[in-house]
Amino acid sequence: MAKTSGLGDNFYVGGYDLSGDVSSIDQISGGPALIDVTPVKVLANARIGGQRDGTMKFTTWFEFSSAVTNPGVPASTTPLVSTYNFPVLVNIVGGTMTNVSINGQTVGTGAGTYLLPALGTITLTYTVAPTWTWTAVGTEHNALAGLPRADEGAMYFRGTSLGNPAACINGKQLNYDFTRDNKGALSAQVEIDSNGFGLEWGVMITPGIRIDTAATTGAAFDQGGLTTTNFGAQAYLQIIELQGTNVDVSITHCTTSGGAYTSLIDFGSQTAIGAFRQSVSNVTAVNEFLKVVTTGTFTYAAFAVAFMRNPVAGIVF
Amino acid sequence: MTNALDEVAINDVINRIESLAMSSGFFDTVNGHEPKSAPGTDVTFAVWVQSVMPLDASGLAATSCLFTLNGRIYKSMTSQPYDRIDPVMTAATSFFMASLNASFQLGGADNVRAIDLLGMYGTPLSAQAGYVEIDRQMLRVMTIVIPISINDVWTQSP
Repeated sequence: MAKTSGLGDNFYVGGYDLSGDVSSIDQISGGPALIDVTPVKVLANARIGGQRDGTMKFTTWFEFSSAVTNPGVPASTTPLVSTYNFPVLVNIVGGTMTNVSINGQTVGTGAGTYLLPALGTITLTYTVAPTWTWTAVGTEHNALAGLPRADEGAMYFRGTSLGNPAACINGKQLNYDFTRDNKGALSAQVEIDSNGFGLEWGVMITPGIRIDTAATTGAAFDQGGLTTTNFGAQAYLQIIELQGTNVDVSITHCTTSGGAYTSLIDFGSQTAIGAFRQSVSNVTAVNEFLKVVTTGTFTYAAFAVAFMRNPVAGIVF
Repeated sequence: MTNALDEVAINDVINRIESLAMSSGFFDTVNGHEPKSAPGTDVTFAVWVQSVMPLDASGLAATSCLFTLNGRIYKSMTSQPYDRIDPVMTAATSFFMASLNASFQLGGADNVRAIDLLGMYGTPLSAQAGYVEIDRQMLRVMTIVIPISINDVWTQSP
């Protein structure tokens, strides 16, 4: 693989996609602390690995999504322009419809959930009017201003190609430090320090954010010719949007691409956006091919999954 | 591929700038292009696109842009009384800049983040006096740089 830039990267925190807001990743670091065990009889330091640690620091521009109210359903084929300068999810129910277009492009033919970009135009074609519900897609300030005492999950995706590197952390958000400079630019710096587990690098097994509009079995992901290993694995999930009752994201595995896949890691039934981590013990067999599977009752689930396969025995995070 | 700065968006931004100019009440004529012939003795305003460039105040996966318009106020250099030319031109400039300050998001249109009033991304909203010759007539002008930052114009993907 050729050297690459960091253009087109993604960054998710606590179930929010901040890729359009975060201007720079200032630090992704982690690893074991060193414990000095140097005896008197040697001529150089002897050290062993201690507790794992991890930190992510980033800078973000200010963006805030306010609450939205449902506009009236326009007449058939009459465009309606969103007055919200942030994206909204439009959940269309019922009616007798033949077309849904957003910004002039056909995106569907009937009821369902559609992402309407900031200030976008949506046009419905129908003979019987449907109903709809608009929901704000949360942005940077919605994600970070809460400063929770509980753990946050953050994921950095190097691009959005399947199999690209991804860094993940489960930790505490320490700050949300704002700067409004004398020219008017508004930005904030944020640090997340790990809790419970160190920083983990893995690979993305969804191409950035995957959007399912019904229960779906994803395409097989080949981990690159690795045969089955028995050293376990960890995985991180960010559910970024969920319209519906619940979604259960799981990772299945198999020794062949077209074989019978069995469950490896299951994130359980989730009813709201958020960040999640799951692992299997470090003696669990992990096969070469993976699929990300969704089940549950939903019309729109946007999520991203990163996977860390332990390459050697005895790894504990 | 996404391009939020399409013809519709560009027209909309220019139209909003023209509306602000017209509502100031200072200008007898407002154009969305540079005049091809010399304006009369009245005060004329024209606006056109000067530059489009990426903004380093972008996110990780989208490129925002700095969309810079030039506005120019024209008044004949031979209009009488001469002593009033600069005061009128400067007052018109100031009123126009006041209206841009009072609507620095252009009403929230077209993903506009802000008119760069103070120069957070380089050149601020500013005006430069000068002279232009059109149709062999010398005109007193004020050229106003209107830098507008626009969010997430182009989505990045390999």
